[in-house]
Amino acid sequence: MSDALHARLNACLRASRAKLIASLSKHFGSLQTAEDALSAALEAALKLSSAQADSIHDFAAWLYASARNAGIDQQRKLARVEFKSEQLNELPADSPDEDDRLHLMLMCAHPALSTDTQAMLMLRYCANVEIEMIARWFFQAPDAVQRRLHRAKAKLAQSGVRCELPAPEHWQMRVQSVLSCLEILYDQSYSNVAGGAEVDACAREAEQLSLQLVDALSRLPQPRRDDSMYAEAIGLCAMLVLGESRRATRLDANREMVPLHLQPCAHWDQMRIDLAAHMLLRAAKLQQAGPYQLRALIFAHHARRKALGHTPWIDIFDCFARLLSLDEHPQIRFGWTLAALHVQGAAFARHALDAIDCSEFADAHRLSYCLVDAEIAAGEGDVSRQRAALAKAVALQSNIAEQKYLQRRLAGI
Amino acid sequence: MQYLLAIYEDEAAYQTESAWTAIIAAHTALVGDMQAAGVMRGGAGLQPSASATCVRTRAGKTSLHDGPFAEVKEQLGGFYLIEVDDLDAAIAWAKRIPLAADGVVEVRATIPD
Repeated sequence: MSDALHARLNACLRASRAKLIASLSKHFGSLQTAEDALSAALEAALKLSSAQADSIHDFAAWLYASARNAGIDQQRKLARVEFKSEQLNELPADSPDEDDRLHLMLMCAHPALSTDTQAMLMLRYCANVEIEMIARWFFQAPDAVQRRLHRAKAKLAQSGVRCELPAPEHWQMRVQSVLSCLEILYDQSYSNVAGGAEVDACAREAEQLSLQLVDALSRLPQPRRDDSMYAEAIGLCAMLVLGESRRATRLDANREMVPLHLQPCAHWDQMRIDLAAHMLLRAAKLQQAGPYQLRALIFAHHARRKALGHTPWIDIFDCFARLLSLDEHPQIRFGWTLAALHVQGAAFARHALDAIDCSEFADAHRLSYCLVDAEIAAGEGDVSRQRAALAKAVALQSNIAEQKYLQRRLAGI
Repeated sequence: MQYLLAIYEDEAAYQTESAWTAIIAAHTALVGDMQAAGVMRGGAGLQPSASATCVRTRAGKTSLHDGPFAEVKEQLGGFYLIEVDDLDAAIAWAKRIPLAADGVVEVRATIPD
């Protein structure tokens, strides 16, 4: 095998592996068969002479045709045949289909799998991330991830999940599941602000996958596409893109967290901000407002500080109010209360915070409560209350970068 | 593809006559819908788990045990066997199975012939 062939093969795989797996999964109805067939095709490719390799114009199409043959052989349990590139090149033009990626995404994030497993499958097969990397992102041993992927593929095959577009009545459940999976993947990297380069890479994969999802959905013909789901997919994607636009400014030189309203907005990624704004307009035209779009809109209003010189709290307050009418989640209530502090003043915000029953909150919500409490106390000029709330928050916070920030604030009061 | 929909609930929820009548009516309606959709292949409600007998095999010897396989909060109370295109469709039918209170419907594909 020549170096040139190796390089061509690698480049082809980087660009097309996910697409190939998607098309083969659809063809064979099984992710496992698709993966095995592609491995067989790669093996065959590595045995090609340079003359044979040179005669292949479209390597992705060649791999697809070879893998399809290999898969058929495997399914028939026949002995492996030798691949002849000349013959395969004569196959009718039949290359992996761009739209099959959506089918694969829907299959990987099937709601019958646990969310972590969905995320791992998507990373491995839709984003082509190596197992060792996925293992590090999920704090697991590579063997464990390998086994988990194996079990998941077996379950999908045995329980009759097909690599096809779902029937219209199941569309909502299936796309919602992909969106939740992407959100959790992103949240995991977003909450771990001090995670370093690897966590950043995970967030970027989530962003890329969401862009892929929107792209694939945009190609679907209208009758098969549910507008409210499409608008929400765009909303989630815009949210991730806006989150990524600020990534560089979320930590300062001492690896201490910088809260959103103090981040140096000159360093925010304008290209991503523009892209997200464009996407949100596209979603708004569908006139199907939903929680992801509203959350993205809140991010987008924060991003306007770059142009305005101040944060447009009134718009953020309005978005939170609309979001609250759709979802009573405590974190949204806290966000609304914080926005209310800026728009309606400390007395109003204090009243709103007092109305929240936090007796049964988990630690994450208790932490948010303390942070909002501290902000309101600062607005009221109540130093001792502010100090007490911040001290409680420090104790609840497990993230080192955020803890550093809170401790410095506490010391500065 | 054929799927088993196994229903697990707390039997205690069926101690009253009215709960029993209501659930039978709801199941009858569901069976009607399944038949109309042409997916119904079989199914039954089961007698209380206390009436179960387990035939256990240990080291090649069988012995009988009075009572259910495992003492758990939710017991197998009935099942459906349906034939639908894929897991999504099976899940959609499972969601429609009436329960008296909290419970679980386990969806399992059968091994094809």
